Amino acid sequence: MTSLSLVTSLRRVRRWRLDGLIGAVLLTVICVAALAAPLIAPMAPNAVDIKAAYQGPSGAHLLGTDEVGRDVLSRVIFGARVSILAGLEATLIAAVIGIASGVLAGYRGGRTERVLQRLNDGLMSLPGIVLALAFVSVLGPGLRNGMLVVGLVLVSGFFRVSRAATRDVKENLFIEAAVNLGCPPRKVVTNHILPNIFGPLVVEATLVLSAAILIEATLSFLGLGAQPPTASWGTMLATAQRRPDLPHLVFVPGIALTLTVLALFLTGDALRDSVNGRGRTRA
Amino acid sequence: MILSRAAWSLVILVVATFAVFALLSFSPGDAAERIAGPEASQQAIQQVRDRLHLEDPVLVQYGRWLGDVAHGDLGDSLITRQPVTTMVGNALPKTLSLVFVATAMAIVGAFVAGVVSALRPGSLLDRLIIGVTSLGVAAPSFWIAIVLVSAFAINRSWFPAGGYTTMSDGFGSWLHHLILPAAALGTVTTAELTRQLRGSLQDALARDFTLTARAKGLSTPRVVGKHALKNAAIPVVTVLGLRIAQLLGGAIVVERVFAIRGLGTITIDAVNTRDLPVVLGVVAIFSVMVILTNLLVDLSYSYFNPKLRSQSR
Amino acid sequence: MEGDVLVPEATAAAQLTPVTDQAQSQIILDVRDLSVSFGPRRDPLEVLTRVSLQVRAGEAVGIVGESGSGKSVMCLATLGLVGAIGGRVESGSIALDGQDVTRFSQREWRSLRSQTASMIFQQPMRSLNPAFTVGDQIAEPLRIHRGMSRRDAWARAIELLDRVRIPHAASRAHDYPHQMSGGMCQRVMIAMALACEPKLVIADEPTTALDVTVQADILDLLDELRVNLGVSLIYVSHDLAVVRELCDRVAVMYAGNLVETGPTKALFDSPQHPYTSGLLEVSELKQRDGRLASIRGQVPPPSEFASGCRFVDRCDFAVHPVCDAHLLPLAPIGRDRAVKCIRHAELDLPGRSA
Repeated sequence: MTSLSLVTSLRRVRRWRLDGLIGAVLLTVICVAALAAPLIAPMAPNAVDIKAAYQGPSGAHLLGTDEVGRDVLSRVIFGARVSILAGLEATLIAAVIGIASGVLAGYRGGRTERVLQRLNDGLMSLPGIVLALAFVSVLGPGLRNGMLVVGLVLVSGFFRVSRAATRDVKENLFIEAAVNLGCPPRKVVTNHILPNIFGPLVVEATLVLSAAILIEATLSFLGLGAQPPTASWGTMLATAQRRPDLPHLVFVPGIALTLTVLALFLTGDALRDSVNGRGRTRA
Repeated sequence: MILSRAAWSLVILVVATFAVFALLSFSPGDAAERIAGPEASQQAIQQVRDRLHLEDPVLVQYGRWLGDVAHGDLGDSLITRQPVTTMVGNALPKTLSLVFVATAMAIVGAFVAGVVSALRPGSLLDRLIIGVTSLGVAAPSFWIAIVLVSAFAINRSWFPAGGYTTMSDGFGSWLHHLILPAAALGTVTTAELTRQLRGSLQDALARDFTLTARAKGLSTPRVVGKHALKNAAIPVVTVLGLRIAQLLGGAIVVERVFAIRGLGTITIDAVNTRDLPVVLGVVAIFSVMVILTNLLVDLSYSYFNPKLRSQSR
Repeated sequence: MEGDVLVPEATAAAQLTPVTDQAQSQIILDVRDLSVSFGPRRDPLEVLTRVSLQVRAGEAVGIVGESGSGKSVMCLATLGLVGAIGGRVESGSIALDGQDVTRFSQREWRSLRSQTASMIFQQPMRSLNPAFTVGDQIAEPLRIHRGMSRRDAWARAIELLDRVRIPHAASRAHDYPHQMSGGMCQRVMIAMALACEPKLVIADEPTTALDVTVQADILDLLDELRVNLGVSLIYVSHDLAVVRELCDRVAVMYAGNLVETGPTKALFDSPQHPYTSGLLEVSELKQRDGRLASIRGQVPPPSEFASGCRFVDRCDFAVHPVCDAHLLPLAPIGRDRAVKCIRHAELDLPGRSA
């Protein structure tokens, strides 16, 4: 009945606004913390003080200390920096490769598209971690290498979205018009296709960034990403694993990770709703 | 249709393993030197090279590897000298047990939470479930693993903090050791499946055939559990299929936390020691597992959606 | 007019039952003064207002009206399904086969549905479950309500498919709804509705979504089944021609009200309500001043129902303020007829042309 469906859809709109707002606020807080780390953190993240090792939260150390007496609060704030920067790096690599190949596949169609799709399927058929580990075994551990690897592994998401979105946009008449007017393919792509696939790509970027941050944390946790003494949430969790009886070590980096990923998901969902709602193409 | 999917899957398997193979063969550092050992003479190293055909072009080496694989030979570990197949064979059941129990827990959990949520939308319980699942999809499984160990194995000794016992040593013990790691591994999947089930169940309940079912005088459990559920299952199965790869990957890290000598631990050790044949073998196995589970998922589609079955009349 | 005493509709409805009785003027469905609303309790939208209707054994009653008249809600109410689409019964009573079901819980309703009364819906392909075979779906009420074994229920399902004239019933029972045409799906729904031998079948626009050629077949089938099985039929439609063919009595609904009832022939020959007359003109594609006859305006949504006569804005015979004053009850006129129009006696409305 009309009245019933109206009430339901209104409720839905209100909900995503709230979720998206929470997500955006959370994300901003985390980014600000990451950017302003040196200003916000009470101490240097790598300041060692063996005598104060493994202490719980106290006046001097709001979130306690780790195995060599470093301040957990400072480390978690600097860890935001490491994780987010690393994540952005990897996302950028994945975006460049993924979007370029995806748009190529979607625009050209035919054999090019099929071949690229099968290659992408191959990429997706392996769990990201497995692929990342395989690459790390070749390139060796280290944060720089790790991010390169993660970037390669995450290409498939961008490829999939840009290919589908390109095909969608290609259907529109204004593309045909541009081509008929003699517009060279490269220009068609940059002037007409890219602006119109921007929406779904931004949404995908939030997902990819969250995956990148998680994979980086996992690699660091395994000792294959960020190397000690770098303060990354992953390495902090590696410490926590050795002393699971100390809740401040266990919960702080974990909650930080969860909240960051959550913020990205919420923002991404809100973006997706607004992208879909507003209608996609601008000629 | 299934056959062509299987054929393509094989192609994909070859592509994936070749890519990794090629990458590994271009790796810095000389495999021959490492195998021969730090004391070996140049002659000994060259002998190793010849024996392992390390100077052949990549494609040829790969072809040979592929041929060996077809015979069930994955080469030998550079470190332990054991056949990779043996190592994998010992480790695989543990990883599979873990993934299996995690998947089972996820399906049961999602079923309960999803149905409860869909039946009472907007209620306190529903909102709670939505909130918890939002967090659940965001939490890293290895962190959950540490939290669970901290809460249930260290602070209270309800479950062992690690290790694995085989089924032949007792089903109870096997399960007891697997509950915490499986719970950690399955958290994200449970959350995702719950959300999907809730959504697709609500959709199914809003459709015309649900009204017909009620008009036939069927009870609510039957309307929801039989009529709506079968229609709501497909997107959920799809999500499960997509998650399997993640589950297999996540198992690697969870095994580390719980000291289970499954495929994950073997992989990490191999990566740390640059034991390339093992790495390659593991990649191949993972690929096969993902492909097999995807095939299973595809097959189950035709059970849930009769429109996909081949028309033979 | 001020000072008028409002006769409660229930009394009026009671006067509709003719005094002559044969043994079978047993009343299968007795709806009195039913009001149904949707939306929040503090601000409800009334979709049906004080509707009364009776259906006797073996009778076919047609309910006609445009979309938005409340006909579907009426059907759902008779099976206690108003709650399933988010509505609730505000007042009035419903009696099914002599039993007062107004306050029945869903649990109590379950044994009545399919066995006492059943329903056929408008979109047959959407109303069948795509994940189960048609045989399964027909057998289901038999197994649940009659406790039949799987094999017996399946055999009976095949019999029923045969009855509704589906060829090769035994093999078609294994088909899924998507493998059948709309017309066949509707036959399956009819078979399903008849499975437990109910006394009343409610058909909510069963042929609207089907081709015209298929329509005739389905109507034929419904008529034959009614006659042979002695089942009562409520047939909802906006198509007057069909209702004329099939039904003994007709009830005309507009904007949540029942505006006129009576035996088919009498009602069509001399309608007493301007709306009925208008519908007849439209259905016969009459021409007025060189243009196709139509009823000007549109059916108002429930939020905009007038407090007096709800047809007043579209009526060619409306007289203000008389027609705006209050909502009349359905007033009986003569034998077996009733109308909700204050001016009906004065008007001589055109009816069906010969």
